[in-house]
Amino acid sequence: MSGGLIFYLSGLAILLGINLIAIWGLDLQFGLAGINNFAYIVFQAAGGYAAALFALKPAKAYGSFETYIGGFNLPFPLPLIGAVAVGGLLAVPVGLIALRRLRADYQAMAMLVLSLIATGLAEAQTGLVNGPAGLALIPQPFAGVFPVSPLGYHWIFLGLTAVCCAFAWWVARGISRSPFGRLLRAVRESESAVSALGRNPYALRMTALIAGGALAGLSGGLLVEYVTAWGPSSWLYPETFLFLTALIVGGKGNLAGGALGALVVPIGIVELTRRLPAFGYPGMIDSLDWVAIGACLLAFLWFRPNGLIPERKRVFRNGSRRDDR
Amino acid sequence: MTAEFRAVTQASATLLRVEGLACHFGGVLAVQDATFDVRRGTITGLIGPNGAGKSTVIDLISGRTRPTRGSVRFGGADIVGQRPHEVARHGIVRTFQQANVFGGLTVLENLLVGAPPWRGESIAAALGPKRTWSGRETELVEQAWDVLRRFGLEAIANEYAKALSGGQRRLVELMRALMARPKLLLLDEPMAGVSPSLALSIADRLIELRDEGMTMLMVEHELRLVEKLCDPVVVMARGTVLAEGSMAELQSNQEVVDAYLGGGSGR
Repeated sequence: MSGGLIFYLSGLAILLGINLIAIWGLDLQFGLAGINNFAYIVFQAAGGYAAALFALKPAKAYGSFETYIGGFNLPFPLPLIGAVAVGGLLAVPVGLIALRRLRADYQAMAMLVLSLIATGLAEAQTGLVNGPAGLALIPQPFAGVFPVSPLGYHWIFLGLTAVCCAFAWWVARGISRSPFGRLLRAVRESESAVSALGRNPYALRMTALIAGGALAGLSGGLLVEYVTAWGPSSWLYPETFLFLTALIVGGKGNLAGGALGALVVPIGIVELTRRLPAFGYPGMIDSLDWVAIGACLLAFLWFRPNGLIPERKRVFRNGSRRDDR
Repeated sequence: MTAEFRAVTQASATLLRVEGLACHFGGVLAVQDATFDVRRGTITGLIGPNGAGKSTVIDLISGRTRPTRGSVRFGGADIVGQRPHEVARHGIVRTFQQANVFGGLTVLENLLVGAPPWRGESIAAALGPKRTWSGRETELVEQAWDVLRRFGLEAIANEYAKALSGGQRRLVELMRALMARPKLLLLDEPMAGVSPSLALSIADRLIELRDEGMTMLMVEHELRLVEKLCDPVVVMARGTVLAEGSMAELQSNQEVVDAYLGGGSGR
């Protein structure tokens, strides 16, 4: 196998891991708690910006070729921890706006509007995160610490991604198998019945939004540290539907379904369409990406709404412990 | 027995006191000046023609709808205006006019969600060691199996609730409410859409529960069942309480006969 191919495949593995974290976070919100979070990409974006602003030096240090707030020059892993915190904290105002008084369909609309507002804000306020041009020269973790080749650094970053995936798996698995996860699934099924049994459905949904937002923030932080640049064009609202499609195709409400969706949609479909020979007008292939993703989403909603790996039934044996099937 | 002593014992026997309850939806007066008591250990019936305000009263007591005025006192505490989950935490658990089960959860999981709130349900417990919640979880699973055995429904324990018939969903809702160990059970037409044989089976279970000391307030249209189960019975019409008493007393009340019983409704 050539060095170039290994470099490409290790890069794909890093992207798969980053998508996996994001999709498991979305599964907590959408798959378990039933929150139609059409602003999910904003949580990833916020994590990305947080990691960038925590890692970058002040703008003056780079000759002010870009303008942004902060620039704290914090060492690894603080930018990633900051990304997790900002992703989680962002859930609080979003939840206050979208979850408190609105029914599920209106929640989806409110989320979509919030996503559009966030993009508009990031583009228009050039002093905030350098406007539409976005941030560049974002320092990578351990950069220069180990004297390794670009491929060698890829392996280091893949290791870091694997550790972050393990953390995301621990959070998502802990929640989904616990009594708390059962309550989230109950809220997804009937908010009124949950409240009639003494639980506050708003608090439950808010907790799921925060937990999922934190994982989205982590994925954003990791992505930004990998690609070293981040701008509004990287997180336009359709990106949320990429993750939603992955979850619906793979199967929501279970970790294996999310993992399969992460492999099939953002990696499989996107990479396959990129392999097509160029034809038509410039940008045709990019558009085909979205056509393929949209068609895939519709096909699964129509013919296999539970996805390739449906949510597991929790089976209890009489007089014995639980067993999943 | 002195009048004072009688008053004190009556007060202690009252679990729920609804007083002057009113509710407007825009210009529509759904409930006006509803006043009645629910005594401990009884199944109090709430009957009346369609649109009388019975289900609205259940919604007002359970916190699902906020009243325009009036008070709801439960065990001496005013609970009016509290949100549904706050009301439920006082020990008031309700069922719904349309069976409201968690369709994507199994029957047994539905029952587990019915258990009173406990510490193991927090996100902190979910992210902590499993042993912090698994012991209590095992106890609750055993309790749920006991409830299922009592209703003879162990066979459907691991079925998704959405796969059940309407009557079975009613039973799941009732069993789930029992898992909460309520002090007061609000039943909104528990026999609606249920086959006659299943309705009789539910009625027998309710009598058993009453005999064990549980208090219930039940909206029901099927008057033969009301007669079998409920004493006293509160009659509502046009949003207000028309009369209260045993079915025998109500059947001789001309106002009640004219407003509701006269047409033989439900018989």
